Order: sequence, then C-alpha cells, then structure tokens
Amino acid sequence: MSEQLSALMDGELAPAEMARQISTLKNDKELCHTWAAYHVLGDALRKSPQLSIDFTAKLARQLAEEPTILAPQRKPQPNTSRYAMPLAASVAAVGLVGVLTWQMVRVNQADAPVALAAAPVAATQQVAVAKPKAAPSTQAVAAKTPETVQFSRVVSNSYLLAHQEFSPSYAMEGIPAYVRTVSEHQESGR
Amino acid sequence: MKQLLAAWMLLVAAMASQAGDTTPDDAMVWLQRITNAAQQLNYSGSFVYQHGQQVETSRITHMKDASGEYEKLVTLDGRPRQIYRNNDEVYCFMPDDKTVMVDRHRVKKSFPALLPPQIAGLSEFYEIKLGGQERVAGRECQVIILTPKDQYRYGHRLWADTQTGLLLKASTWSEKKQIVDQFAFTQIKIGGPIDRSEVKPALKGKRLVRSTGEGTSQPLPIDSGWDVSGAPPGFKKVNEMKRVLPGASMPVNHIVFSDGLAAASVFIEPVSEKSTLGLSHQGALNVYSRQVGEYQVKVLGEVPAATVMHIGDAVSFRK
Repeated sequence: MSEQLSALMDGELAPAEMARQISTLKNDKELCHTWAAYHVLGDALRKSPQLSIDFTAKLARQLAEEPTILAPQRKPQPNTSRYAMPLAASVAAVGLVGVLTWQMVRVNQADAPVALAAAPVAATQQVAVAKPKAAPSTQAVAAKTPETVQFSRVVSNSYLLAHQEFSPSYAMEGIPAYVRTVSEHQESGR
Repeated sequence: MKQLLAAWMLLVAAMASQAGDTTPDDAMVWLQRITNAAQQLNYSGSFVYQHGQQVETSRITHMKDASGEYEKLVTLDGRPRQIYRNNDEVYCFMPDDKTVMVDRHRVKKSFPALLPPQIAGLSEFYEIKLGGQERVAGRECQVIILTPKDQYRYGHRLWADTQTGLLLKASTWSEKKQIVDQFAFTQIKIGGPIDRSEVKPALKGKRLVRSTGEGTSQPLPIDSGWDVSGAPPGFKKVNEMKRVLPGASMPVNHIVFSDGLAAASVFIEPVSEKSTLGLSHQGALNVYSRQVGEYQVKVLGEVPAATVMHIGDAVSFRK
C-alpha cells in the first residue's frame, strides 16, 4: 500500500491506477494521514518553505470555488523524473490532501453539490495546472486561462445595476432578480 | 394601455388555444403567465437566495396601482442593502447608509415584457417543457424547465404558482447540471392592498448619485466605434450607449447582448490603476475583464464563463 502511495506521490502511476489510488485515499482516513505525513517528510528533506497550517483548507476552498470549466483539459502524464518539479508537485499534493480532507468534512452536506462534484476533478487537474509553473516550455497553455480574481475587485454595484436594467430575466423574476446586484460580495477566498 | 393589454391577452389566448396537447406551447404560455404576474400582482414575502455556499434572506414587496409599479427588496442578513423601484427609477441604498445610487430601469423598453414572439424565439436556444407539480412556500406550483441547446447559456428551472402564475422559485444550472444559484420564497402573501408608503424610498438626508450626471438626460444609443464580431450564437446586440455610471467621473461605453432571456453587458473604459483583469463569478453572474489597447473591456452577465470570455475576446476597435 505504501509503495503505491509513494508512487502516486511521485506521479509514477498510470492514469487508471492513479484514479484508483485517489479513490482509495478518499475513503481511508488513515491513509490520508500517511499521505500528508509523507509530504511533510518530503518537504522537510527538500527544505521547502513552511506553509501556514490553514493552507490546505484555504487552497481547497479556492479550488472548490474555481470555475472548473476553465481548467485545461489535459490528461495528467505519468511523471518519471523524481524531483524534477518538487515545488509544483508538493503544491498539488497539499492541495489534494486539502480537497480530500475537506471533502470528508463536507460529504454529508448536500447543500454544496457544485463543490462536491467539482472537487475530484479539480484535484486531478491541479496536477496538470501546477506543472507549467515548473516547466516554462508549456507556459503557453497556462497563459490561455485568465486569472481568477475576487468578484468585488472587478465589478462594483454600479456596473451590476447598469447591467440589471437590461437583463430580460427581470421580466420573469421581477424584483428578486436584483438580489444578485445587492448580494454580499465575498471579501476573501476568491 | 387597456387596449394594449387586451391585445396582449388575445395573443396569449391565441397561443393557449393553439397549444393543444403539445407541451412546448403549454410551457410558453406559462412563461407568459409568469411575466404577467410579476408585473400585475401585489405581493410581499421573504425569500432566500443561495449562491455557492452562501445563503441570504431578503424581504420583497411589489405593488401595482393606477400610477404604476412600485417594489422594494431589503436584505435581512449581513450589511443592510435595499433596492427600490418606482416605475422606471431604481434606487440602490448603499451599505454606508448615506449614499443612494439612482439608475434608470429600461428593461421594458428593450424587452417589452417578453412578448409572445420573443418567448417563441427562445425555443431556438432552449428546450422548453413543463415539469410536474411541486409545492413552494406552501403553495402548489407548476415546474417549467428551460434546457439550453448549447454551452453558452445556463439552464433554468422555474416554479410558478399554479393559481396566479407568480414565480416562487427559480434555479439556474450549469452545463454540468450543477446549480449555480437559486432563489425561493419561504413565505408569500399574494394579492390584497399594499400601502404606497411601504414601497417609497426614504431619501431625506441621503446623497443621491445618478447614473448619467446631474441634469443630463438619458444616455443616447450611439455607435461607439467598438466592434464585437462573433458573439456566441443567439446573442444579439440589443443596446449600445455611452453613459456615466453612478459615482464615476468618466463615461463608459455600454453594449448589451441578449438571447432573449440571458444578457451580457460589455463595459469599455480607459484602463486605470484600479483596473483588475481576469475572471470571476458570483452565483450565475460571471465577469471577464481584459485589456484591449489602452482600454479595459469588462463583460458581465448571468451567463457561463465561456460566454463572457467569448464575447470579451471578440471585442475590437474598428479601424
């Protein structure tokens, strides 16, 4: 089991094998802890910069909120070189643990269908997204995806109001349509 | 006005009689009923709006009398925010409690209450059909489902009060059949008198900021020189103008695209230090901001991210 885990960590598993491992991880809390421990060890060995305790939770939240439609549709390639992309890999791995842990917490809360369904996809794709950072040759792929920014930094109420006056959905929804205009914009995590 | 109403009712009746057993036409009639109810009825109630993992409760009141339509929306959670509409004037109370943004409400001119031909046109881009009967806020509702025929618009599920046609619940869902946002009444009173004072904004002592600058008349439709060639299928330009947004000093070009149900606004203004580029969303609202030459192009709408990006990337200045 631990060999499999280690192989997954190094990206040496075939895609099918990888998916199986990830789903095992999802259901095995013990294994999840081992996974996290491996990464802490790896980070310590590589003297990676320390990340704050709530880093995984925050990343998981951001991943969950990220519109998945924008994620590049590349299949993660098995990565044979062991330390070629230590930083990217550990970011992805920490993200994965975060998502999995978060998923366990959220699993009974049916009010977050979007986030739940998106999480495993986001986790796998994060591996693909993280790679270009370490490999400049594939930068072009990343450049096509616009940066996700905080909502209130792009649009203020005046734009929303100006848009709303022309939105035909108003005709059916009536004043409730304006709720989107005045909805409390999340200040963080976007 | 009465003649117009009569003519319109005839049209609806004509549509209804044609309907027969075919579901799409029945569904169209329901859309028309919903539109009509939203404007004609007096109602007040509480509703919840859910987007992402956030839930907000608001109170709304709608009143119609001989002098026109009045409505208000007051949020009950978080910082207090209020919107009032008196016929075509919209007042948005800012959380600071001092400033009130005043804007025109022109939707009726651009979309004259979703007339039957326009509703019929929707079927080109949405599959419209009736669902079952479900209960919302203690009332029996008819479910109407609008399924988009491509990835450029969201799907909608509507719950209309069987008795009056008023929309009591609506959910918007993505291509992956995930709900992006929804609102639902939890309690509602339909009909009966509503006092005008309840739907009048208290403007005393407030600083009013208007959308077009003091004393300026309505913004005129213009040809701005900006070109959007290749908007996603079905999205037609319905308006183009130069305007000053409330609280802003510089004018902005505002171009609106719509497929008859969903709309996307394009705002073009000179790039400033405050300009943020990128993509963001809140519930069904997606926004995409990019730079074209010395200008910032912002596309905003209740449409998927693919649509705002598609429109934003199609913006160019005509040489």
